[in-house]
This record gives sequence, C-alpha cells and structure tokens, in this order.
Amino acid sequence: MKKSSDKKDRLERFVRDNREDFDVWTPSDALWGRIAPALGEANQTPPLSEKKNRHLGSWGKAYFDWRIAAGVILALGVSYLFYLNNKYGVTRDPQVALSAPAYAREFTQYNQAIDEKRMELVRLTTDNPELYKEFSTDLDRLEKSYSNLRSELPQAPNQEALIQAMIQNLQWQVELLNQQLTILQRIKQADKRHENNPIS
Amino acid sequence: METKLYTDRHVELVERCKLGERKAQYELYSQYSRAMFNVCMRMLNHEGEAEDVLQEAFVDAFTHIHQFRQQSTFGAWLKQIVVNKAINQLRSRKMQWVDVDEWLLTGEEVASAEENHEWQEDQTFEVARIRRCLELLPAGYRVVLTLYLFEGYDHEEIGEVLGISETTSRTQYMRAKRKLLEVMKTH
Repeated sequence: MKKSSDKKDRLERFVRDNREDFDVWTPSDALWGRIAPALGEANQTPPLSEKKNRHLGSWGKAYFDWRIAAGVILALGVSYLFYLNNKYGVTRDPQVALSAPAYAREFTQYNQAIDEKRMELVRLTTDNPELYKEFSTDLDRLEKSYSNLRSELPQAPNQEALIQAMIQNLQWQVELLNQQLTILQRIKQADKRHENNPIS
Repeated sequence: METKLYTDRHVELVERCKLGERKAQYELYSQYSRAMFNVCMRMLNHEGEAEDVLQEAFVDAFTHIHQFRQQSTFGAWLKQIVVNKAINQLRSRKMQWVDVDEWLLTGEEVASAEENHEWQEDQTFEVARIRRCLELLPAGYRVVLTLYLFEGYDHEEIGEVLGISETTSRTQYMRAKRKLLEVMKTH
C-alpha cells in the first residue's frame, strides 16, 4: 500500500484523475489471430456446455421449439378425434352417423347404454342360462326391427320419421333391459331372503 | 468490497476458460487486451515489442489459468504476468537497462525536492505532453514511473518485481519524476 507519507503531489493527482486518458494505444486486431493458435486445440466440451447453458437459459424465459409444438398439436388433434368418434360413433355405425349426423350423438349414447346393460345382464344370468335365453329373444326381436329400420334409412322418403322410429326402438331396448335387470335383482333378493330365513 | 465485485464479475468466464473454451478466452482477451497493451506500451515504448509481450502474456495466462485461484482479480493476476514479461523483454535489451543506473547516478540532478515542487506549481499538465515526455525517458525511469504512477504498484511491489530494494525503488521513483518534470520544461 502507498504510505500516507508519500504525499501526492500535483503530478500524481493529475495522473490519477486523468488515468483513462493515458490509455491511448490499441493493440492490432490481428493479435488475437496470433494468440488463438498458440492456445492449442480448443477443448471439445465447450460447444456442448455452451449449448447446455443456452438451453438452460432459454428454459428460464419461454422455451419454444416447433417440433415440440407440432407434437403437442398432433397429440391434441388425435385425442380429440378419438373423443369425437367415441361420442358420435362414426366408426361404430358409420351409416347412421353419416346419414343423420344431428342424431349421431343420441344414437351413440343409447348404444353405449344398451351395451352396458347387456353386459350387466350377461353377468347376472351366468347361473341362469335359460332366463338369459328368454330375455335375449325379447331383445333380439327389437334389435331385428332396428336393423330393418337402419337398412331402410338410405332410401327412406321421410328420413326424420325413420330416425325417430329408430330412436324409439333404441329407447325400448333400454327400457326392456332396465325391466329385465329389475326382475333379475328381485330374483336375487328373493334368493337371499330364502338363504337367510330357510324356515319361512 | 470493490475487489470482491470485480472478482465475481469474471468468475464464470474464468471457469469456462479453465475448460478450454475458446469463446470465453476471447471474451477475457477483449476485455483486458487494451489496458494491458497500454501497460506494455508505457513500459516498452515500442509497438512491436509491446504486441509480442502482450501475445506471450495472454498465451501464458490462458495455458496456466488453472493456477489462478481467484485470490486476486483476474485483471490483477494478468497484469502481473504482463509486467513480468515486459520487464524480461527490457532485460533482454541488456545494454539500455544497465545504462540506466549509471545514468541515474551520474545524472546532474542537483535540484532539490522543494525546487521540484515549485516547478510543478508553474506547470500546466496535459495528458499528451506527459505521455510524450514519458517516452523520452530512459527505460529504467519509465518502468518505475509507470508502475507507481499508472499501475498503482507500491514501492515494495516494485522492488519485488524489479529485484531491487524498496528504498531503491523509492529513490529511483523520485529521480524519475524529477527527470520527467525536467524534460517537460523543454518539451
């Protein structure tokens, strides 16, 4: 450290106050070109770590990559199509869905309900095949008339009426299944009561 | 503390240099080359030699950067290398370097320190004139003046770097300053 006894004279103060102005020289631009080769091969890791840094840096802001954006949009599109198909039954019953798009959703809902109830029916009647046969013949009749209606659909002069008839048919199917399920439940309950009170 | 601040500013760059990253090396070079070149120019008074020394110093600094442990700022560490290289360069010009001491001792500087101050009062300083007159001084004077006046070295540090005693540095500096003012009277 400079001692306080070295009292600054005018020259020293002047230099200190104008220090920046004394740096008037600039090295030639070519100098780095002489230094760089003398440093040997640049390390191979730097571009990597630089890249990493860059990515980390931009994650902090808003990271945007067209490839990822495209992937996300594609995934959303596919799942939406999947959802639509599920709801409107395009692949399940293309004929109906395409000739009556306004009702496609309704048809699908009924069909799904019917499928569910049928599964339930099958499950509850595993120990009673005869009852199942009886039930399914009733249901088959309705289904047959539904198929007839459906095959008439393309040529029907009054589409609206036919579609209403088809929906009516599906409603009947649902109602029939509901009744059958209620019957089955009653039977089960009765069986249980008998098991619990064998004497009565 | 100010030093802390400066140290922190380049910690990341220095770390990247340690990994051998060329871009980081160039960034440090761009930040310091001008200041260091001016140190060289003041000490050596020769553009070609100054560039050679600067080149050597940067190559040395980057190849030995793992030895830099952030105890000082990178700039201070680099300046040490630059100053040492410049002094070696001056020593390789042997003749002139040895002459200085002789010249100092035989110099007809009888002027007292008080007189010295009187001169200063009369003189108006100009950056360009001081620079020009510095260039006219013998290398030995110039080096001591440069280190003390411009680079903020104290006499102990100057003594270390030049291999002379602190007292010698002090008297050398006094004489050099007197000589500079003298030269300035006529230029």
